[in-house]
Amino acid sequence: MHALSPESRQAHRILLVDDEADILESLQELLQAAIPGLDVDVAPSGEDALAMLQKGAYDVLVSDFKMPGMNGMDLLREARKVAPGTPRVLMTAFPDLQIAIEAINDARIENFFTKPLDPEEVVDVLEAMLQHRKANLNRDRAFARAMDLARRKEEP
Amino acid sequence: MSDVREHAVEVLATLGEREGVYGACLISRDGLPVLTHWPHPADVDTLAAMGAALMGAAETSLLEFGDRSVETVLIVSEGLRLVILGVDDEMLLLAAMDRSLPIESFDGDLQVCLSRLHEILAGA
Repeated sequence: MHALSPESRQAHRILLVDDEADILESLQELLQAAIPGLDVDVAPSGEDALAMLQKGAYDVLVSDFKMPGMNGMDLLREARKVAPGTPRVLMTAFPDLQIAIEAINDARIENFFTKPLDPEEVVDVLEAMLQHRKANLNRDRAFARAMDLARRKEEP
Repeated sequence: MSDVREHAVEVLATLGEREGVYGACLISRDGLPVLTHWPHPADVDTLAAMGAALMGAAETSLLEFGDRSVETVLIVSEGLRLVILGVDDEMLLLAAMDRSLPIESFDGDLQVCLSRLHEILAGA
């Protein structure tokens, strides 16, 4: 948070989803060390992730593709309905064109990571996504305030 | 923290008290006034909200060219100039001045003010 912030801002929150616990753990450690003030929540399945998305707001959702039960594509499609403003990222060890097309067209993902993950790339991409998200939220709040003040000034 | 505020207000006052300058303020990118030196009568809440919205609109427009790094938004009317500059990823500097003030001489002062604010906020 900025020292002079007029109102307290929540830290950025990312939700990572993967059925492989060691990947989740290492990714969580990597991101928390690389991005100050970042909250990283983890979910071992698509179903758990969906429940978490329904309870709280996240700035980015990152999901593995191949998982038992609800796979990553289905999760990201559902997440688009439940939390349409949360940018989505798909990770997969089995990249193919059909998956990429579906992920872009149906789940409207913003990025695609291939496993094994490149830690530097993951941090750079997610940092840029968080900055972009923050700028969008600030802009939307500023627009809302400006519209509100303009309306009030028009009132007799 | 109060030192930070005091120093930042001093910097704004140096700029805001120049002849022909109506005022200067530090605003958050989501449109709230944070620190103000605005001797001229004006509703700073409105200036802050509109200033941040203008910067947001400029960023969204430039994004069409793949660039979001807007440094300055300048609005020129018959009588005045309103300048909005990015200080950091949370704050903007907004200043208004008489249009008759030579922009060349004012630009240097703005850059000095910006750089001092940047230093103060970075050290906070």
